Amino acid sequence: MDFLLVLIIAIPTLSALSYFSKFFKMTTLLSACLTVVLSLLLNSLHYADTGFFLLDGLNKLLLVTIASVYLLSSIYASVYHGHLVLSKELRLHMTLINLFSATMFFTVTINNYGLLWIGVEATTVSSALLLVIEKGFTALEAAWRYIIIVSTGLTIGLIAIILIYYNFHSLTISYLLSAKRSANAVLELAGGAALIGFGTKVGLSPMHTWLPDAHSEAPAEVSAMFSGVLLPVALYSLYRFYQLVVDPRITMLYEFFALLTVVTAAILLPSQRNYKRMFAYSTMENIGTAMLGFILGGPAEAGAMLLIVSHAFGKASAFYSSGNILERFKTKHIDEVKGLKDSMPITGVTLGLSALSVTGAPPFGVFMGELLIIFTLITLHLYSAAFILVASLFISFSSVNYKVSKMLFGEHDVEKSEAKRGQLLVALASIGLSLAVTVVYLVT
Amino acid sequence: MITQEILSLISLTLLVSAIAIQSQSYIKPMIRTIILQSVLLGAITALVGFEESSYELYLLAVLIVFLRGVLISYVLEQRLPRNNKFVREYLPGVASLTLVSIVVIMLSFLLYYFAFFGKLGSPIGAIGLSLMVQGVLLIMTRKNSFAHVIGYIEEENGIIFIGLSWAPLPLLVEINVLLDVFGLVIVSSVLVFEAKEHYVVQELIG
Repeated sequence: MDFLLVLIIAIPTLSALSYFSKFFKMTTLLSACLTVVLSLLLNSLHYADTGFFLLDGLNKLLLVTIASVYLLSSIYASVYHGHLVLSKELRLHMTLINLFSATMFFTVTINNYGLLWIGVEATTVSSALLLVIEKGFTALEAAWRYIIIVSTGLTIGLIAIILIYYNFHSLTISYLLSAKRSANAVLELAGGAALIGFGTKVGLSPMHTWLPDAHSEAPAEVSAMFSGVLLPVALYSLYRFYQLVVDPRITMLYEFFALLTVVTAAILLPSQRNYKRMFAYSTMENIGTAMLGFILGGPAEAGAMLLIVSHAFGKASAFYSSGNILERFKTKHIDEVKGLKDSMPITGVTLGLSALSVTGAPPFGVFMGELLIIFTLITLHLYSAAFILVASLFISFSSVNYKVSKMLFGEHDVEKSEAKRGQLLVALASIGLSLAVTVVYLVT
Repeated sequence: MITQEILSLISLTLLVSAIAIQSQSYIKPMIRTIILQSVLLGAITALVGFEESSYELYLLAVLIVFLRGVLISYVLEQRLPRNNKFVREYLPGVASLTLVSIVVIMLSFLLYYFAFFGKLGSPIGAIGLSLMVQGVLLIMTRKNSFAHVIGYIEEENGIIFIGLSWAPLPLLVEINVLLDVFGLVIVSSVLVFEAKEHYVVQELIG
């Protein structure tokens, strides 16, 4: 089993060496396919913790999600950036996609808090240059903000690791989670430091400022990876810290920041004029809701997991569709894109469905996940929190779907012309997978 | 006892170096001061290693000096324009910023006293926290990319100092943290070349 885990990290790392080969696209696609197979294999096997790696119900599903979005994004990138042919920029881009995926696999499987921090920081190192494939001024500024804000925040997260080591003299996750522990002031401080540090990477309000910039300026396939899998990986890391800290005050603090993030997104969504920024804020809302689910536990935890997986594919599809629209209309302004149902019918369908998926429309998994979280809040008599969540989700749902419908319908004066077939297939497959998550959940 | 006094003295010079960086608008002296700060941190690590007879800390000291004092400074200086080594950030109110920096150090000490001292002891850890806060302050008050990277390194120096004063992390983790930061500076230096100063961008509002 350890061998399979080493392989799933090693394959994308080694395929990054394809920078020096003219078959770099093929190598990346092959690597992504192999990681999908490996992640499915790992899901079907029972794993005994052997020390260096940790695999449980939580990260098994994340592995499949990361591998799938890695594959979809690799295909999309090789078609979307096809005009760059064998250029140095595209080689570097594909290389970094491989390394970025490898760092995410490492982060979700490692069984050590210190190395977990290193994994999260490595995702920043490997992904920052993914934003600037075409070196536009705004993309450079967004990449800079991403790297500086996230790294500054994560350094505060390192305080949490020092405090954990000070308290337990060990950083092994499985050992610490199974050890007998009680609430104390040092762990409380560790929980707070982790919330600020890793919360910056998760995109929790008010440390979220890098998130809409990076998501809106990155190429479509990178936005899909950021939104679909990077933020869940960061949330997974934060949750591992939360699991260790047994303290009702920390629970309240985490719940407060999760709700604050959902409310912030709901306040900012109605005023969005850029469709990629709009989807970025929608991600904040989804991740905040998922975090609330993880903190509440019980049915809400299952709901959060369902939400995370379904959202990954739904949001990836939304960003792939956004990439198709940007390629055609050369603008990110919502007001300048009209009549997609006639000019780009397939992209219109994927955009509309993905918007419904990520905002929690039935029968998508996000809807079921949100329902389970709201149900748990009511069961725990947290009525005010339930009301705030429902109101925020309603505002987000209305804002995103109203803006998307403005893009789908309305007068247009452009000819019918779709994106390249590969791009369309990736967007369709992604939204199909989002729907399939619901079916799999109901069947199993 | 003498080692402790030397340790306290060098630790205080870290704070002086932080104030010196805040009060500087020329980039090259800023880089030189952060090198000095990193070398001093290496010396502190070696001294703690001497006190605790820990070869791991000696190795960590060598790595700090090599990675932060030599390699990172080389990478940053290479990014300065060759024809104009006197690169500066046109920044109004450097004197006021220095005063703010001193006030922030005092506040950091208070924060440490109320939040950490009662639970962890180790009064010297306050210097590490102050250094971290100074790094964040530098990032927040400057528009220049070099200043941002230097602020980040300063923050990381602060966290290493905190680790030394509370509980040094296992060597494997410390080495990886150092390498990660090194990787981040390399990536940042690529971006530094493309965008040297940062202002409000219309497309990134809202």
